[in-house]
Parts: sequence; C-alpha cells; structure tokens
Amino acid sequence: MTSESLAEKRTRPGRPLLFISLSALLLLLGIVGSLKWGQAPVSWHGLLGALVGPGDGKTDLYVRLLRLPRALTACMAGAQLALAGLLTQLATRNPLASPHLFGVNAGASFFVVIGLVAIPDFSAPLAVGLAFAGAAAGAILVWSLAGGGRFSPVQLALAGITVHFLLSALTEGMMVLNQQSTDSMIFWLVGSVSQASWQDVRLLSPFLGSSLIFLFALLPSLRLLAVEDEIASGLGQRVAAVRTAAFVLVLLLAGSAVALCGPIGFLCLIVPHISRALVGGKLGALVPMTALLGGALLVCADLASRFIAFPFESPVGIVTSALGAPLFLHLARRRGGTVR
Amino acid sequence: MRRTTALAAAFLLMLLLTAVSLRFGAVAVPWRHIGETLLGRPNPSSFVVDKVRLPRIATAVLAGFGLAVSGVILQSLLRNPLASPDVVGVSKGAGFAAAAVLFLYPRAPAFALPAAAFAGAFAAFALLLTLSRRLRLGPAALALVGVAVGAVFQAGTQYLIVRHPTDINLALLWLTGSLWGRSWSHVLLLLPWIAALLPLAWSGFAKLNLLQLTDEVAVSLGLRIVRERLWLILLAVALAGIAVAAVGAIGFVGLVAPHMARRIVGSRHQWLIPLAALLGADLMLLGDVLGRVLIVPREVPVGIMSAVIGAPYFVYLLRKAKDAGARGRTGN
Repeated sequence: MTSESLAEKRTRPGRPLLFISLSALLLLLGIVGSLKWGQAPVSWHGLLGALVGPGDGKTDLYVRLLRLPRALTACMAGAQLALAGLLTQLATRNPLASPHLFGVNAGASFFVVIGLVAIPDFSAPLAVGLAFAGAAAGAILVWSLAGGGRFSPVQLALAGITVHFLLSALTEGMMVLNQQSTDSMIFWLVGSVSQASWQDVRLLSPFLGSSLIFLFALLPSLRLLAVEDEIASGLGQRVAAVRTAAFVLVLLLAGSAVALCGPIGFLCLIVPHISRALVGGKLGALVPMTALLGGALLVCADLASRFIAFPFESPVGIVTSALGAPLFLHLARRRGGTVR
Repeated sequence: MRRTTALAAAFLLMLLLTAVSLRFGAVAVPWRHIGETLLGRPNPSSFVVDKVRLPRIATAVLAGFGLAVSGVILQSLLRNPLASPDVVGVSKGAGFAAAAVLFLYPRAPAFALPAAAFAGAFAAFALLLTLSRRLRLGPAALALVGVAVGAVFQAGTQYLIVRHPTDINLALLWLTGSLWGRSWSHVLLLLPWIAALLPLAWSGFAKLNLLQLTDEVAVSLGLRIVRERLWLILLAVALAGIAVAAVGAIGFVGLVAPHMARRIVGSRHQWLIPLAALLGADLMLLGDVLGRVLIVPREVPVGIMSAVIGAPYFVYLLRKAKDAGARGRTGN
C-alpha cells in the first residue's frame, strides 16, 4: 500500500488530533442539534431542564423518550457501520469494499422479507432478531464459500459480492411476487433510525462496547492485513486468524447496526475514505476518526432527514448518501490522486 | 484450442437457449410452428413467436452483450474485480432518470423511458468526468468517485420511491431489470448501438491488455493513458447505458459475466471480450426462460433470475480456482 505510506508522510503530527477533535465536536453538536430540533419545538431552556432535572412534562417526554435514544442510536450505529466498513476494506484490500461484501446487509434483508411474507403478525422485535440472524447467516455463507480463513482478498471480495447479489435477488424476487405484504419492506430497506427507543440503545451498546474492546486489542495485528500475504505470513502464521477476527468484528458491528436501522449502505464505504484523506493511514488515528466521523455523519443526516420534507421524515439512508457523497467528492477532487 | 472450444460452446449454448426460449413459456409452442414462423408461413403461433418471444430474445442477447462487455472494460481499466457498470454510476443515473419518468410523468409516451434512462446514464458519466478532473485520478480514486456519484443518484431514486409508495411495483420491476413486454422497437433501439460499439470495443483489446497492468507499464509501452482511458470508459458507458435503457438496471450480468470469462480464457482481451459477451447473453437468456416457466402465469424478472442462476455457477468457478487464487488479479 504505497498510497498509504505516502499519505502518512504528508500528515503533520498535529493534524490527526485536530481532525479527531473536530469530528468529536461535530458529533456533539449533532447530538445537541437533534435533541433541540424536530417536529415539536423545544426551547434551549426546556432542553436543559429535560436533561439535568425535572422540566415541564411534555418537553421531558420529547427529549428523554424520543430524541435522546434516537440520537444515541444514530451515533452508535453510525460509528459501528463506519468501523465495519474500515475493517472490510482492510480485510479485502479493496477500496470499494463495504460490509455488504460480507453478506451482512443482503442476509439481513432476506431474512426480514421472509419474515414479512411468512409470519402473519410480524413485529419489530422479531424483525431485529431475524435481521441479525440473517446477517450472521450471510456472513457465514460468504466465509465458507471463500474457503475459511485462508482466502485471498480477491477471492473473498468476489465470493462476497456474488452472495450479496444472490441474496438481494432472492429478496427482490420475494418483493416482486408478494407485493401486498412487502410494501413496508421498502422503508426498512432504505434504512431509518426514526423509531429508535431506549430498548434499541440497550441492545446496541453491548455490541458496540465489546467490539470496541476487541478491536483495540486487535489493533496491532490489523496492520498485517495491509501488507502482502507472503510478507505477513513470513512474520508469523497469524494472517488467517486475523482475517477471521476481522470477519467476526464486522459481523458484530454491522450485523447489529443493520438489524436495528436497516441497511444504511453508503456510510460504510465512504467514511473510512474521508477519514483516511484527513488523518492518514495510521490505524491508531484512523480507527477513532472513522468511528467519530461515522457517528457524526449519521446523527447529522438523521437531523437533516427531519427537515427535507417537513413535517414528514425522510429515511436517513437517503440523506446519508446525499450528505456524504458531496463531502467525499470534494476531498477526492482537492487531494487528487492521493485518495486511494 | 481451449479458447476456441469455450467460445464455440458459449455460442452453441446461446443458440440452444434461444430455441428453448421460443419453445417454452406461459404457452408452449410446438417446434413445427416455430419453424413455420421463421420461414414466414402463417400458423396459429406466429403472433406469439414473432411479436412476443423473438423480440424478447433479441433484446436479451443484445443487452447481455452490452452489459458484459462494459463490465470487461471497466474491470480492466479500473483494475478492480468489483468494478461493473454500477461502479461508474451509470446504472444508478439511468435508474434515477427512469424512476423520475415513471413517478413524475406517468403519462409519458413509451419511448420516453429508454430515452430518459440513456440520458441519465450519460448525465452520471458527465458528472464523473467533471468531478474526476477528466479521469486524471488514479483507477481506485476514479472508481470511488463513480460510486459516490452513483450514491447520489440512488439516494434520489430511493427518495422518489419513498415519496410515491403507490407506484412502487412498476419502478421496482424496472430497477431489478425485466424483459417483459419488449418489442421490436426495443430491438431496433439496441441493435445499431451494439453493432457499432462491440467491434470498437473489441478493436481496443491491445490497449486493454496493457491498461490492466500498472499505469507505469502502460505509459512506458507508449500508451497515452488518459486519452485511451477516456475513450474506453466512454465506450463502456455507452454500452451499459443503452443496455440499461432497454432492459432496466441489471447489475449482476455486467459484474459476473466478465469474471466467468476470465476464469475460462484468461485475461487477454481478444478472447475475453467475445466470450464475456456470449456468456452475458447466455445468462440473460437462461434467467429469462427460467423466470417465465417457474411460476406460470407470473414472471420472475430476468434481473433476479440471472443472479439466482449465475451466482452458484460463479461460486463454483471461484472454488475451482481456489488453489490458483493467489495468482488471480489483485485489487488495488
């Protein structure tokens, strides 16, 4: 990865810290903004009251029961998806990779659409369980087709994209053939955090927490993924184990986020690239930057999604693409060939 | 020798699938009637054969050619095994324009849809050109810019779909790709383009053989890479754009037919391009005929069936090449 080492040389020592704190600030502003603005007006005074003590009843309800869990879910899901994207790109050594290559999105969608068609009174908690099971099934399918831990990155990418296409085709087939019961599927497929509750936060936080610990423990070994297989195995026999660990991490991170919020696609692909363009390729800076920026982007996109077609909400997946793509295009244009 | 065999086999498979497509469907047509229709003699089945199945088959074959060859060019140029007409944003742009026509002008005449889709494909390409400094970016960055452009268009499509939930089915059918109701007018739309562009693409095989190596090698061997790349991407965009305009946004064929071909004849484009084209047509025909006979009288769209059929076969090819996998082309 010569491009990475180039990017590292260019970054001045203070730069990563600056951008990491900037994106933390953006995340904070986004959370405050999404508590303040929405369909019902909340005054700054009321907001403060709802957060620190007993405010007046109605504002309390809005902020504590609706907006706060929603903002937290968006923040966690964004961070998880972005990290999953980074790990996929490292494991496949392909800049176009995102967790859908591990069959996570398509597997989750497939199981949810089966549930919609086959189970008469299909409820939201059931959808979450099914989606996670589907994500796991998709990932295991890709894993076994790619030949366990010993796959080459190209092999993994091709097996992954094929499984993705297969499962998506089956999902679309179910939708086309069962139009009545699957109309609501469209909204799930676009991705949304608007229904998030404290229960979702409780569900998501152990996933995020455990994966973060796992990820930081793994951080030194992840560097192995960036070098050629021959060199890596020359340094020890751990390549297959590291890839397996990366795989499990992607499943934990992306599987749980997709199960709760639907397949929010573009974020996973683009946030790692934006982060790399800003802080360089060193994993120590790249991982926190990616997590913070992912969270910030999803929180801001969620906030924006409330106003695009006010008073109706637009699915956040759409807004994420609409916000993230121009940002990435700007960076790609400005930095020319160094964004790789 | 092996390459000739592969080409001949793919071609024979195409003929066989054509015959099977003519014979089977919601209504089975006797072989005798097919023969008589082809010879121009009147018979009870001539309407089904001549007005329904033949144009459909021709559309499938031509679109399969276009998508597969476009995929070959893009995978070699961008040096990324995940590249396909989707990656340069072309199908997404076409999909957005088509969805806009379907939702916002439901009474537009029939020719408006393919025209809009083609315009959408080129709008996406124009955007890609401006945003990538006329393709002066490296291959990986170029692919990413294409994906970003595509994401913007896809967000637009999803927005339209979510805002018009009543017409979802029509749009969904188009977005997955379908051959339903394709007539001779679609064939006439496709034929001149494909007939002109395919030879042009094939004649670029020597350049593609060099461009799939590194930029440095291509330059040192005397290639003006920026200009050649622009020209070849333009070809790929036109091929994919016209195919998508006729049959809808079929993603799988453009991605996987080139890989199948590459696994069979290797990476030299003089063989790769024709074999990929034939395999693309085979995939389309097979997906179409199975989609028609699976649950009569309903149809499974070809975009779905071709992926359901093609994916297992491709996985088989991948598994078979597992030992040789390390020698495969690496991304980035």
